[in-house]
Amino acid sequence: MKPKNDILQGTLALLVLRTLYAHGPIHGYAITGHIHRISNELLRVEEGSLYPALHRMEVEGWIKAEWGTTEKGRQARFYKLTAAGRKQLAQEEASWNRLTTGVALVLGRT
Amino acid sequence: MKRVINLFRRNLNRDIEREIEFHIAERIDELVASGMAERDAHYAAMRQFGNLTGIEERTRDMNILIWLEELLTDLRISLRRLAKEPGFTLMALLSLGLGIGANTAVYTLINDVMLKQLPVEDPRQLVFWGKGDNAGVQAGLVGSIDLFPYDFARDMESNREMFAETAFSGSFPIAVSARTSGTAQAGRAMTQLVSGSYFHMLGVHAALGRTIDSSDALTAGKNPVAVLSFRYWQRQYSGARSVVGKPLIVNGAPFEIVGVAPEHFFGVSLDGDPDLYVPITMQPQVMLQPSFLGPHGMFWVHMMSRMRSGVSMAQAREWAAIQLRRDLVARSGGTLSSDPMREIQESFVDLQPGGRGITMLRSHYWEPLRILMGVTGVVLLIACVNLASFSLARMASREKEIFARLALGAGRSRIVRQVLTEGLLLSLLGGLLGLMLAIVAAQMLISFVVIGADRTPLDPTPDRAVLAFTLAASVLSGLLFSVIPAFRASQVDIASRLRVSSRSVMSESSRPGRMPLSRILVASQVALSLVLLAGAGLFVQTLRNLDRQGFGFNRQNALLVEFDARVAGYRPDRVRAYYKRLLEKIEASPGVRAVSLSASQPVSGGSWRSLIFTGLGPGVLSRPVRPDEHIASNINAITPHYFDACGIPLLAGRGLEERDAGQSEKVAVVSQEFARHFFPKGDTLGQLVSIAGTPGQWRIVGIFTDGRYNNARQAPPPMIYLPLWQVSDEDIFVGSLQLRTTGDPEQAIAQVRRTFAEVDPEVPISRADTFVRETGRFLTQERLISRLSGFFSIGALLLACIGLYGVMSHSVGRRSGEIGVRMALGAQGFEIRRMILRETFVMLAAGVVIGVPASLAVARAVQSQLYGVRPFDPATLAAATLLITIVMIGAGWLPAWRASRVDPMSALRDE
Repeated sequence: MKPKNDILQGTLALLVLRTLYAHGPIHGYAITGHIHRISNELLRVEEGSLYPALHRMEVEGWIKAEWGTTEKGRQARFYKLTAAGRKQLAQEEASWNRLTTGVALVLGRT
Repeated sequence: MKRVINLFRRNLNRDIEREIEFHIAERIDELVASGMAERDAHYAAMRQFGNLTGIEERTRDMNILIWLEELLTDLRISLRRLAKEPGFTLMALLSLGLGIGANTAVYTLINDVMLKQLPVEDPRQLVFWGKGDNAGVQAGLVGSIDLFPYDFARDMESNREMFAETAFSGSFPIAVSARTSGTAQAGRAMTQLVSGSYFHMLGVHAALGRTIDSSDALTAGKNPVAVLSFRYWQRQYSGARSVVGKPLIVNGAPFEIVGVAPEHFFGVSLDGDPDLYVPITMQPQVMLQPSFLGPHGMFWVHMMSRMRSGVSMAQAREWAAIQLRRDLVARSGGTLSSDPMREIQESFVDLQPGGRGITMLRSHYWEPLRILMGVTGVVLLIACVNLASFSLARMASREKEIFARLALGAGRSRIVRQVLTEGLLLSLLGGLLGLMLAIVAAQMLISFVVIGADRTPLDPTPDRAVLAFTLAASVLSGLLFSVIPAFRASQVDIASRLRVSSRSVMSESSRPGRMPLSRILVASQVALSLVLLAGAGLFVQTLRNLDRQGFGFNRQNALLVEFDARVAGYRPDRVRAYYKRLLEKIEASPGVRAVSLSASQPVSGGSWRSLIFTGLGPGVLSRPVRPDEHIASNINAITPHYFDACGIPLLAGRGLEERDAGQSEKVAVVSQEFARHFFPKGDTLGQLVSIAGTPGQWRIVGIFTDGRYNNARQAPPPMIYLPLWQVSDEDIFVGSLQLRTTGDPEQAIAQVRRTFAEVDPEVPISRADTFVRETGRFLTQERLISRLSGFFSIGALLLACIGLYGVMSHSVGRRSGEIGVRMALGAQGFEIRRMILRETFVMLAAGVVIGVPASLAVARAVQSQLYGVRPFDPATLAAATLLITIVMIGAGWLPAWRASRVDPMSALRDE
């Protein structure tokens, strides 16, 4: 089964970082739900991509994870942004803005 | 740091699993909340999540260090699998060990002779004046020069125009009798004469005391000092530090020990390993010969220099040639006619990078070692092909397991990695085994190559270069034989695997239009073995041709004895009487037909070589010199019965007689080649010749047949023989005694030793051996190639045999169902046999079709090493093909026979 990428390659990290920036420590499932909701159900994060991405970001040192207990009493890993993660977020936001402006300009002229 | 901790966090996998479990549980909750039945919600959540194992694996792969953890797992699996199949493992380790071992052994020798740098300071800056192929004392030289006179070397030593520093040394080690004062027993010690600049130029510092320096080599005969080699110091003085300053009696004269050379230093020549280093100004005392140190003296030293940075080899060569020519002209006294003068103007020094030291082995063994490297490389290749086909067969039996792993979601790359890990594990273990074998084999190769030398700096223990080679060979062969099975593993097709039922008459081999991989591998083994067999056939014939052609003397019933009366302190005035007494005594012994003495050993051709002048006198030739021609000849001084003792037939004139002695007319006899070379008109007898370095003229009275010396392939060189009783004091010392016996020469050895002891117990025999064995040394290289290539080609044939047998057995095993069906339908045993054998034939034929042209190409490449046989030799090729056919059919027969014995009932029941 091949993973389908609903989200443009490379933007997943940006979305996850932004979500963690807005909401303190939350778990993976909540991240997918949040992105789904806040994007007016336009974006859907593939679970198959989310966990590898989370793990990579943890290794990069952008986020930190801790085991905690949810309201329902389940064990879950809660992620939160580190200082390095905040810097990374700023960078990715800037480059995303450049990209969208550029793409918008190109589209506007054709 | 965190990554390292991760590696040891055994619960990492567990973390990921738990996290994913949590995610799925949350999803199920949500789905249930939206009204889905619990069971459906469970499946929906799972479906949505996708390939659980795949995600787990990808999640973990994010961490590079997980890779190591997986490697350990792969190693565990591999070890378990190898332990389960001890037969395969043993065969793999043995064939890899032998293959890698043989390659490493040959590479060790190549490294020793061709690549290793001398243990001196910055060896890459060193240059040698010439290739160092020559050693000895020569009266005159022209052309490409690598021996120099002492005075020229001294001039260059003080000339810093081109080189940073120049040093020189005697071109050969000298055996002396050395005795610690106060002890009675004198021992033989090999002595290297060195210039005052020698140790300084090489940048070698004493392990103890000091080395020889420039103040030690200022005046001839005034500095009796010696530096001991480290090994000699350990052996003779047990490494006592008090040795410095002690006296050492060399050839009866007192010397002072001033120091000990460092442990691994052996001079600049790989052909020897001296015990003592003595200033070159002590040459007369060490050699017990007249001085070679005077102006316009003999050519006998090797020279070496340290390059300045920024100076090119071409510049240095040009400069050296100019210096040499100027010196040669001055040496001739300026009275030469135009021809010899032109020769001088064309003389040059072939400067060589000197960091690897000089050795005669390099030019002799370059081709043979390259050929051996090729042969052992092919053997390793065949071994790898063998393992590849076996691994393929094992892969086939693993298909179910791999299918299961793939179906459970393992990535194909993980499976490929496990197969590669197993291959590399095997090949590295095989390489380790090979390394141990290689040390033993390299020791054998070295003693084969340096025949007879007491000691050699060649070292069988692997250094870093050899270890790197072994590692590379192991990894490469591991990859080579596991890449195909690994690829095959990754191609296991789940879908088709599900469709194919286990019983099928359509076997792999009967699929039309495509030869299965394992059979291609066997065919390639056949081709490679054929190349090796045909090559070995050519080398064996080369050796036989060379051995049969004869050497110009009768080798049967003859004995060679080497000795040196100088060691016992004889001077020219007394030595003649000693020689006469010795000859009389031995002649009178029973079983002796003829005995003689000669300056140089008859089978070596000797190192006495000088310029020959025919016609009126020195400097005048009776005919023009061709540009490629040398006007030099080998010379030997002999006693009258030399030709009888060596069995060299007379062609014209007379031999030397007892009356050719003292003040009677100086006479000489020459070889056929000498006559042809210097007197092409055929009027040799009665001619007068002058020889540079000997006074007066010699009248030629006889012509004998040619002999071959040292190298059986080389055309016989010109040779002139002078009566020992007529040469001057300088040339009076002989090195060899020849003896023709009526019976077995081995029996005479003891008798000769007794006689030597009776005449003078102080004169030691350094070697006594039969002519047959001595001439055997001529063919060392040929013997090395023909034996080893023969050995390895048989080994390759065996491996190919095992390969074919394995593939056919496996195929018969897999097809037992099909065979059972055929037999149940009425096929006879011989039909089944024919069917299976036909497959063997197809592989064989394919191998031969590729192998024959490949053999021809290889034979052409090694043409220079062949003798008396052309690279295209139909008989050899046919014999090799026949041999391989017989052996292969033999190997294919057993599985075919077994196939014909398949019991149709049990075969069908098994399915």
